[in-house]
Amino acid sequence: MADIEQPQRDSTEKKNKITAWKCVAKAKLPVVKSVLHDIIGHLNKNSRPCMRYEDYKESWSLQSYWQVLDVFENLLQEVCKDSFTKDQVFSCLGDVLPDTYKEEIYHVIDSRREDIRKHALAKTTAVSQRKLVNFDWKVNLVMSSDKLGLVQEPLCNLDFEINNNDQKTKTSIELTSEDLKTLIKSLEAANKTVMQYTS
Amino acid sequence: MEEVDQIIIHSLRTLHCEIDDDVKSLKQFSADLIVLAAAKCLKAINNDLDVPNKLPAGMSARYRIGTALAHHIKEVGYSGEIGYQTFLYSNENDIRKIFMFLIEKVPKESTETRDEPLSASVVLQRAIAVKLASQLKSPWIPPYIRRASAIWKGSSPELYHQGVSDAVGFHAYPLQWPVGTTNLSKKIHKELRNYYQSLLPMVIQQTRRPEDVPASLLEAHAADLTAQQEWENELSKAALTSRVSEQEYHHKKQEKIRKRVLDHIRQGIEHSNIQAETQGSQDLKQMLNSIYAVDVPKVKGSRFIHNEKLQFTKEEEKIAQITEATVSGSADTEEEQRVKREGEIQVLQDEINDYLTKIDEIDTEMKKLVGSIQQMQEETEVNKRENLEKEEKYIVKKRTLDLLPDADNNIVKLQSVVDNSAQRLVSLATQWEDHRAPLIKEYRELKEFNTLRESEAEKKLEEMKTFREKMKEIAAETRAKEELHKQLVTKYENMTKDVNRSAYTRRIMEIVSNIKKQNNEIEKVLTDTKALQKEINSLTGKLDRTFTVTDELVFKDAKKDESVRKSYKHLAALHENCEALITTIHDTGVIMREIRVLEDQIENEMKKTACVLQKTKSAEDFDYFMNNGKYFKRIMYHHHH
Repeated sequence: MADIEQPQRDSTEKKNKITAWKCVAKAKLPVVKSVLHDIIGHLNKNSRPCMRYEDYKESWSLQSYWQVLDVFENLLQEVCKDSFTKDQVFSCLGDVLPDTYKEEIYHVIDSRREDIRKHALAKTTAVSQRKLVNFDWKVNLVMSSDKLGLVQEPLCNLDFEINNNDQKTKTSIELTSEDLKTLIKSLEAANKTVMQYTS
Repeated sequence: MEEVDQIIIHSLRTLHCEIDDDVKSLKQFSADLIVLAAAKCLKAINNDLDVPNKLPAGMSARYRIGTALAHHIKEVGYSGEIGYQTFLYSNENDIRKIFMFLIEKVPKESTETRDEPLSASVVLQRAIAVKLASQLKSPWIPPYIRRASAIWKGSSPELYHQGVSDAVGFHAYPLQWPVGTTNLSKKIHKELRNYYQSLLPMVIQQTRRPEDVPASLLEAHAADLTAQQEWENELSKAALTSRVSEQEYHHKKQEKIRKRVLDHIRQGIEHSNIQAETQGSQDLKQMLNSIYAVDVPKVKGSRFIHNEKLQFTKEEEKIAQITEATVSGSADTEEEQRVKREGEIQVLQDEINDYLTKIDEIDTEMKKLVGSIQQMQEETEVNKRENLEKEEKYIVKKRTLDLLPDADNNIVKLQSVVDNSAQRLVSLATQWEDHRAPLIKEYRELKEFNTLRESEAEKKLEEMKTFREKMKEIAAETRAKEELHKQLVTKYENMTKDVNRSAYTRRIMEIVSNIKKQNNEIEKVLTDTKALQKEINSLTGKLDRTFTVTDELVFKDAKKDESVRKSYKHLAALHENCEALITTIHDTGVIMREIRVLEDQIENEMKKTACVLQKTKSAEDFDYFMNNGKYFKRIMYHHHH
């Protein structure tokens, strides 16, 4: 069944693409350039909400705004694969856009090659199943317990935010100074093996 | 009692009570002064207590303050009798008891803390305690008034926290800023410059919340820094092993990683036997392409890299061909495709198998040939060596054969040659000896000299070591002494507040000496009484004996003479009277003692009566109050009606 549906889906995708390009063509050229720059600046999925629809609401409705974003992101992905020659970019852009637009889009992509490459690299390195996204720490000094009057033991609270198949989970651990030392040691050992592999 | 009073007055002065210098004992304390002193003591014991320092003029207010003070003192733990009358109508003994109790209860912080050694943990704990105390003292500010949870506060500004309402998690966003604008020699892309100038938002506007800006900046900077450091580390390591420039190293590393990735991909393709989906293999092909597209144009020079490139491109082409072959059939229907693909796979598999077997065969042949070549080489080597030996033997034999025809002459010649060479040998040996002896001597001397120097050097080294150890020890000592000095200085600073310590000790010494004197006197009296007792005993003994003797004598004579009988009767009477006299004296002594005890009791009773008198005085006050109350009631009554 899935095989039969495949061409249909392809065709709908194509249609969507064409409408999106039409939307792009409707807007003024500086707006298109600025939105493309903005997308490249926020290719990282985390920061995509940083883009504000208010900046572009005069050019597109919300729906077409999302379409434009999608189509540009797809374009950037494809352009990453092939290595950026002008003709390839032009062919990716389809037939709807006028040549002046294509030219400008190519210039933008050409100028931001380094940024696009960096994002692609980051994405590839984050390909593993579980990935550390963020961490936080604090140190408490335990003055006393219910049995001892004077304990004076520093404890480290570590919070790891881990991305597991796009689901964020938080792991909190409490470590004494020795535990922390062993943890750091093992991390250093891991880093060493990575260094050995890459060098 | 004087001593006690002086101590009490002194400690009251240390509590900042204003007591005139001419006040020497508690007798001179006025009611005002007593209330002031008691209030100060209570405040020193418990800082939170709110007690007035002065007695007001009004009778009712005085009464209230008196009862309040009494109540507080009882709360602190005083078990004796106490009430408002103790303050208002003071009795020296009660006041003394109360003040002795209160002054004992006043906490002596300075003496407690001074004895502890100033270790790091204690210092930390004290710092924590100070901080907590200051925080507890500070007033609570409602969150809508304070602007931030941390404020700079105090005369010497100190960061002061209250609440965590605006504490922010450290959350970083990726930031962007113009790169390469400082390098004027490199041209920036026109479009990029345009972007930097007009479109790139400020760094502070790139995060979702303004609080995340510092976090993001710190994160970005730290990432850059660590990357740079790691890179420099690697470079320095590489520079140690092989001298390459930074760029060369960079290229080399790139090549290495690329090669490794390629190996993995190729292995993966071979493992899966190209059965992967067409889409996947296409992607792989594209990726391989892109890897080469990026890699090739940048590298110039270096034949090694060129070679590698050629190799890889060849292999890569192979892979591309294979993948293309699988891709070409994708237009047909699924069924046909599968059949076709399977056929192709079968054919290719067969081919591969053929090639593999062929390769195996060729390999074995190669191995055989290589082995035979080695054998041959070894054989030729052996033959050559044999040849050389044989040639030498031949030359020697030829010469001897040449010499044979003129044998006698030749023998004589040989003899002379042998003799000559023997003589030469001997002369050479003597020469050698001549040379050798001084050289050996010199060598020995030098050796001795060397050993001497070595031993000296060792000695010096040891000395240096000892000196160094000494230095260390002395340094440690100085450090310890400095610390001790610091401790002592702090101790001294804390001590200066208590000047009266010597006064206390002097007083105590005086008291002790007084007690000793008194003890001596008591002992003297005791010895006196003992002597007296002895005398009394001996006298009574004597008396008894004389009486019995006289009694016997008189009794003997009494049988003969009438008058003597009379005198005997008198004697007996005398004796009885004397005994009665002695018993009466004893009785009087006992009675005198009883009288003294009773006198003491009377004195006590007198004191009690004084108390009662005071109470009656206060009862008069009570009457006064009652009258006042009645008066007020009457006024109220009048007001009502």
